[in-house]
Amino acid sequence: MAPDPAVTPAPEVICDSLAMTFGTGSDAVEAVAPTDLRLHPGTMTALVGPSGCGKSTLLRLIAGLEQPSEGRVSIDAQSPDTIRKHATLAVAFQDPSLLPWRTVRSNVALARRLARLPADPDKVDGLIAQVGLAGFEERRPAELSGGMRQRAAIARCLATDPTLLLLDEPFGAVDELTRRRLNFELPRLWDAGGVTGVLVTHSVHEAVLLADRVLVMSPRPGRIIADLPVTLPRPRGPDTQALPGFAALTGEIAAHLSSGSEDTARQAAE
Amino acid sequence: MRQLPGLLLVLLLWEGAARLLAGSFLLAGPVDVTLYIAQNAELLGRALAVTLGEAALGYVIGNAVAILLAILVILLPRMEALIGAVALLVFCLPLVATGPILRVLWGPGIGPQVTLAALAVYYTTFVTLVVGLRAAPRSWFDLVDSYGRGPWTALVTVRLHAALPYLFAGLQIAAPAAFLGAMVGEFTGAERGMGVLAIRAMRALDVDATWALATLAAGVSILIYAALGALGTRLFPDRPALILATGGGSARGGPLPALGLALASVAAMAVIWWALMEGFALNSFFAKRPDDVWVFLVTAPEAAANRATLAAAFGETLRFTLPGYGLGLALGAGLAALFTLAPRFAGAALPVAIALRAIPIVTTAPLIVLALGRGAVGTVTIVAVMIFFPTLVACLQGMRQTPGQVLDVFDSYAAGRLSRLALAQIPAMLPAFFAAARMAVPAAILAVTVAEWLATGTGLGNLMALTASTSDYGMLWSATALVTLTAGLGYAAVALIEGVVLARMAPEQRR
Repeated sequence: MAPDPAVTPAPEVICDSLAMTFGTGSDAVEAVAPTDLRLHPGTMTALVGPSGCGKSTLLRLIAGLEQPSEGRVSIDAQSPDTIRKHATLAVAFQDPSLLPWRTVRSNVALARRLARLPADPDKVDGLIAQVGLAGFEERRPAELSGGMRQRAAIARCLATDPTLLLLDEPFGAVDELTRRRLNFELPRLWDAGGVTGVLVTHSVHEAVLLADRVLVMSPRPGRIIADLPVTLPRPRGPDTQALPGFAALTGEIAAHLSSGSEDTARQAAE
Repeated sequence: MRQLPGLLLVLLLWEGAARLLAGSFLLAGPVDVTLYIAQNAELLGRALAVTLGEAALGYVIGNAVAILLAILVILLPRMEALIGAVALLVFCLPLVATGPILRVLWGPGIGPQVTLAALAVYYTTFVTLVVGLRAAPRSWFDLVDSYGRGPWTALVTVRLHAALPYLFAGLQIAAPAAFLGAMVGEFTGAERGMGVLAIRAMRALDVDATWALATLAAGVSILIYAALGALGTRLFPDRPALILATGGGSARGGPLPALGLALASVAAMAVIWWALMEGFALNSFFAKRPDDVWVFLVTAPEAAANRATLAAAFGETLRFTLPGYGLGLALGAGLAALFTLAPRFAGAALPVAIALRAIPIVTTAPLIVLALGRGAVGTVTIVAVMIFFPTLVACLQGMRQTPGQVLDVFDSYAAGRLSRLALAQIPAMLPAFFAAARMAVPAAILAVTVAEWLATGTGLGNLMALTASTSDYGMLWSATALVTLTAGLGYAAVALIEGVVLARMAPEQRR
């Protein structure tokens, strides 16, 4: 069940001149250039950009899994570390990171245990069915395909009813057909407005289908070079892609992506 | 330099303990040890050169045999289980018995020392190298296949390259073992070397000399180990952790093939034994054959009495070995868990533990027994200490195998250190723990038999030493066969438990 928004409202995320540099001295790599960002409560924001542009780092900074070298993240005026302790945040990682010695069911249930929430077997099985893994509850990760593992990781991520959902290329290894189906089905889980989300993705289509807002990042060091609202009606489905606005928006994002790469190439040449 | 605080702490604790025990003739502190070494530098230097020479020769021979065996296993994969089992049985031969037998076979000189050094090193190198020769990804072999080339090309172009880092890891583990093997070989009546001085010091209860020799042996082992480690890091920056994560594969395919393999390897062992004795036309008075042991234990008129003597000694030995084995494993794994909960402490402790692993425990066994008594406590402690360090190192390295992304998942729920340990790190550690538990079986038997021989005067260790000196070769060979068989069975039993647990906990980590 989606949480009652009145009880656990979706949080607002504010990044205040947030920047990340790995290493020091001549080895220093600036992954994220200073970034100001406000994620409105109850919206899904997609981050798109070329490989290595710092999208995942930005996501990890919001989750508090990395400490920023500059600036800060506040989630409803609290630090990410505090939010993680309240179990209202969940991350779906690029790598499914399932525990190999646990079955699909107990991997999904693990999230509730780690978040110190009461066990809820019905919810766990319901989520497993929703990501299309019904019948595979007792399988171990080694017996699943890469895409199935990623789906199990998504189910795990939703098992704690998070109000802040951070998705790092969650569909990267999912086959194209399933990916499309999940793109249409999964948003129902957060469309009620009880979830603030960030989706890191390579796919411009996916960004537009899933998000209320798309941020385009430049190649490293990552900067936000475009901030585009997605006003296409919800729920979105296969028909959405036929809307004239869809093609216009994907075209605009693609143009920003390639201009960002050209700017960087030009800077490098100079 | 990160290990400096840890080493200083060890030195301080050591000196403190020595001061506390002053007058009890048990422990010499670092100050007295340094003085002794300084005063006897010339004598110690000569002895060290002799032992190092024997160790080096045994190291080269043992590792050459290991490399040949590993290549044989790769070229004849069907023979792997049998070759592995026989190699293990030979590795399990008790030094206490093989030492005197080798002394009789070789006569005076360095033969037994070199042989024991070679026997002490070849198995670990063999096991790591087989893992390494298999470490190349499947697609590389497909590439070789796709050009129509055979297993020999695959061996030369793919496997040998992939195996080099593993070979190096094995060579590093083997180096301290070669030194220990040479030293124990010298216990059995050599004329010169560290082992000769050590046994003389022990018999005379010369505390300063005993600890000085143990310290010197440990220092040399640690230096060689560290030097090879540094060389390895330079040659192979991304070489694998030193884990013997295989060798247990004997139970593949259920209990029946496992039983068949056990029988086949014992039979092969008997044939090799018989062929060696016959091939060198050794005098059957001391060079007993398998059928002599059969007669001695089964058909001879006094067979029942022989069996009773053997069984009584066996019982005494087991009484010390099993608790020491369990205690050593539990302490090693438990401390690894504690270190993982307090990672800063582990950063300082791991290098110290790796260094202490190189200490030749057996050379100080008599003093430990003297300190803790001839009863269970002393011997159990020696066995536990012998097993403790390798288990600790393996378990710590195993816990570090926990994938970073899995720990990220735990972090994203702000899970506590205890949940991380119980739900992620301990399960990830299990393959390394079982590898250590398997290798600990021969180590425990080595420790217990040496302690019985040099200190307590009980059990199979004493029986073997006694019968070697009284020329009761029937009993000596029977005891040796029993010890070897027990070690092999113990190893197989651990491998069986390992197979069951890892099939459940780490299906993709089983090889």
